[in-house]
Amino acid sequence: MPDVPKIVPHRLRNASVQDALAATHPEADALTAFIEQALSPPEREGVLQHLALCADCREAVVLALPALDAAVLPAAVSPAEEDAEVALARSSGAELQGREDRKQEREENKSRFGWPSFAWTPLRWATLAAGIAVAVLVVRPALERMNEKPNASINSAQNHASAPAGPPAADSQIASDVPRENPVAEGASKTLEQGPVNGLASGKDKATVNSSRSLMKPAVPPSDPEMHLAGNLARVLPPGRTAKIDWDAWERPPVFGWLARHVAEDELRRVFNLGIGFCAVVEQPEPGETVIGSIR
Amino acid sequence: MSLRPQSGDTAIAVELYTRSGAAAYGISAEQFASILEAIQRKYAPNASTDERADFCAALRLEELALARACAAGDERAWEDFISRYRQKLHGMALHITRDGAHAAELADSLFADLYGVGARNGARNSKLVFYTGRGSLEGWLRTVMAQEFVNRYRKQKRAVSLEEQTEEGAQFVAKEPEPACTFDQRLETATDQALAELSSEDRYTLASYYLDGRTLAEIARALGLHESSVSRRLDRLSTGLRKRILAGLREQGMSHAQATEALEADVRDFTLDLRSRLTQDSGSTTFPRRKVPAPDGRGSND
Repeated sequence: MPDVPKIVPHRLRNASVQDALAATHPEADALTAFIEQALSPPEREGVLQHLALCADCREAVVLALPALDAAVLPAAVSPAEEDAEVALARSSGAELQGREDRKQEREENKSRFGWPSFAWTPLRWATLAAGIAVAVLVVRPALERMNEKPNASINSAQNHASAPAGPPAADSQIASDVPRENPVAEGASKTLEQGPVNGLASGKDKATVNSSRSLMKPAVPPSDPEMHLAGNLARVLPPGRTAKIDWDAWERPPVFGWLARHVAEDELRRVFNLGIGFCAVVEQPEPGETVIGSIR
Repeated sequence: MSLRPQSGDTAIAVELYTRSGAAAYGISAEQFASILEAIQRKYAPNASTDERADFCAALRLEELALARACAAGDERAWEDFISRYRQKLHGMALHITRDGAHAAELADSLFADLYGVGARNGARNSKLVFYTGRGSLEGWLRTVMAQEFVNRYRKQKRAVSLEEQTEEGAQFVAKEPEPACTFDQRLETATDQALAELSSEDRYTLASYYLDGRTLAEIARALGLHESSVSRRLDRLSTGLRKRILAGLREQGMSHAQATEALEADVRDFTLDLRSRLTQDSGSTTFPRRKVPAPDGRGSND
């Protein structure tokens, strides 16, 4: 919750001391009508003025609230009710202002659960912008890479219809840029996941598996828990072909140094893939990419 | 328009009387009209004829008739009241006190007040005569009970007995000396101005949250808002107050850096005015017991 300057509670308390003692407390009748939203706007304003200053009456109001199971929470106000409310408030400028404020708050409530009005805080906008930036920085290069390499396994998804079926060459490679930890959009993962199948089916001589910025969730649990990464690869390989992973081919993220003290090596490989997000089977690794295995 | 059948629009008066079911409790149409007139005079003295008719129509007429009949001592009304509210009174008391023994005591005490055991001049002295039907009778009972609780039990809690102090081993602990108050006058002035510019509802929200420690849900229910609205309001108030106080400090000649420093200073760095903290709540009895007016016929008026 937001912090107000510490002087504010102090001055609020001080105002309570100075003013509330001299004020006449609202009758139980008025407080009841206040709680049940049955007061006229001027009367409600009067009660609120007192409540803002009187701790005892504020406590009485809270104590007098019905038990939560019996309470009727404010429901969404229908447009007709809102119109009626605004019409009533026209009788007084101050009342109108108060009603409009409450109407605005209801609009804010709507925006919290839906899209009608974009009453978003700057933090939410920043989060959205960061999400878009991640998508642009991560997904777009991956898609571009697919487009730039017509003979690569990933790209072959686009021309699989004309590609002849056939097993991948024994010297296909599995390459990785850098071990990544960040997830990527699921759609991109699926595209990349489908690519090697088609690419390998096209009869290319070489295929390389590239890692990218993804912690791809396997749609099907690997049958071989010892070889999770390879197990996932096995799903995209035709029968007779296997992926050979070189587990020392990339630098492990530092967290695995700590994790290794608590988790067995095979568990690190099976559960965490040792930091590899996802990999792609490509014909030739590009400069700077890390080859993490090969197809045999 | 008068709601007295013989002097005004009898059709409305008859309709209200019929709706109230007051006849079942032995309240005549004349007596009921007198009750309504008294309530009108109190809460809508300058209302037009139509407004007064609307005002009366919006009252909880049936519960009003029941309460006034009980206050007048009608046995059938009491039977209805007991069957409807006796059990609820104990539930309300338990909800308020969170303690079985205190709840029973509070409920029984209120029930005695409602029944009017303190008879005066042979007539009952029932608290129900103050119910005017603007809210539900159940809500009114809850509010009366809450006020009684604030009067009796909360103040008792503050006064720690010597026994309790002894149990805690604190009977010989000297009180901390009460320091003098030395706040920056400019900061106080700027803060007071900023607070004065807020609406009553905003000040109520601030006081409930920051002084009383109420939850967002409690504040929301008291104001008839959604919890998220209260949360956003507090966000807005926090930001706005900070800006307004800074502006106020700069208007008094402070530089931006000085104003920021003054605002960020923890009040704990200052010496607190403990006297005002201790006397923030009202004196001996917050909600003084009201004298019940002498009954005039069966329908007592406010």
